[in-house]
Amino acid sequence: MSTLFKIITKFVLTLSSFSGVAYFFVVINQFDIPYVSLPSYAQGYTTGFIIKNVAMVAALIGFSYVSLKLSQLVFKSGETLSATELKPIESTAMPTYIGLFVIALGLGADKLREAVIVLVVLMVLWRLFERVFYFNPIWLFFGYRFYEVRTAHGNTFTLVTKRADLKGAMEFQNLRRINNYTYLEEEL
Amino acid sequence: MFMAKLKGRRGECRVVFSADEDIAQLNFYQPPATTNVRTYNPDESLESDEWWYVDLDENQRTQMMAGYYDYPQSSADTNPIHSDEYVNIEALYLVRGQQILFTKITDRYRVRNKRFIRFDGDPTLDEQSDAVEFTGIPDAYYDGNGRLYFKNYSTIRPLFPGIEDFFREATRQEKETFLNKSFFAVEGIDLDKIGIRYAKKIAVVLADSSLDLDDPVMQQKLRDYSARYEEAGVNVDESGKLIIRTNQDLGGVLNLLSGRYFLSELTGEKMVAQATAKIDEAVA
Repeated sequence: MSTLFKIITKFVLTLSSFSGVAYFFVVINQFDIPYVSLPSYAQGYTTGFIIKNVAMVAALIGFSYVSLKLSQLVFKSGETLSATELKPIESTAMPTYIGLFVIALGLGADKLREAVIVLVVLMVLWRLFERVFYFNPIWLFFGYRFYEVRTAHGNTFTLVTKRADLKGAMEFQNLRRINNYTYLEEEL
Repeated sequence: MFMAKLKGRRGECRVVFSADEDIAQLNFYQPPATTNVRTYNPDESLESDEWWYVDLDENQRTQMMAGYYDYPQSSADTNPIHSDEYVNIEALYLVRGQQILFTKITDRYRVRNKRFIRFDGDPTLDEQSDAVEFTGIPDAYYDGNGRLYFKNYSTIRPLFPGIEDFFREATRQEKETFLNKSFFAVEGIDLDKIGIRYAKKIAVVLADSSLDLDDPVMQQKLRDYSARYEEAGVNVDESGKLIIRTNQDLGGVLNLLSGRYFLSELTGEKMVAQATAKIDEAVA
């Protein structure tokens, strides 16, 4: 697949990874969904709120699903990894994400400009330093787990796999290289 | 896994193809037929359908091959090859299980800004750059069981560190050790002027544990051998030592020690062989 497709896919992965932040920002600021007007019986605060949130959560889940499928389409499998150590990283990555969600909740509509500036800076940094690991909490609901993997060569990688409770030294085959530090295991 | 070995002391490797569908395109890249093979001998030449081979011991396998297995087992530990690196490709190699096929890449296989006219359908002009011509012809083949096959030693030598130990030249110290043997009467030989061919033969002689030049029995055998082939010009002095005063004398002594003088079974003539090998190695 061409380099352009790969860049687009990595961009989608990053957006989907941080989409929860956007969700919380939208929720706290009670933005309306563009071009969507609810029928009168659904326009009450509670009903409208629930419908909007369900729709947005569904969109987030859908977007994360698309990012996963796009990865499987664009990145070829066949890579191998010989792990000497394995460690789940949800426990270290989740607090970072929760922190981002809390920040998003604290950003009011009057802070929209600052929010956009922060986002642009993060995007530039993402493009310059490709050492991102695309942790996406929604993928956890798809059954994926994230591990930090160390090899005999002393390198550290992120492995995304549906296999749970992995421990110790293991060999992995048929991995998809998302970037030089993040690998996605084919479904077994 | 299809990998590229880069030039340089570190000899880093990069992934070229890892996906099954890409590897499948390399089905034309196959090991050579190993029916016509011979133990490597630098003094001999090879026919076009023949291959040299050497058998690697455990240490040699580790020294020469371990690096090639490393990254296919864990390709994550290296990176895919980048277009900037194509000029540094020294070899391409394909790992299939324990077998490895190698193709040396020299500058004549690198494609820089070449234009082709393609004739499949309507003629179209194609420009290729940053490409490597891959002939699919292996220069070396490792069978995974300790045997390395190759066509040309100088071509594959940079790919296998330590392979020169098989056919190495004697060091200065080894030349000195050889000429200082009590069995030789040496005079006027400059160690630095001993050529590569003789240096290799000295290394082989010193490494041959069956040839004990300090053993009186072996010494007498050699004197008798030289007496039967006096035309070879290997002379013995009054104390029974082999005389080495010139480069020619050295050559004659080395041929004697290598058992190169023989009598033709067919014509009865005294002959000198360019190379020798044990029969079981020669017909392997």
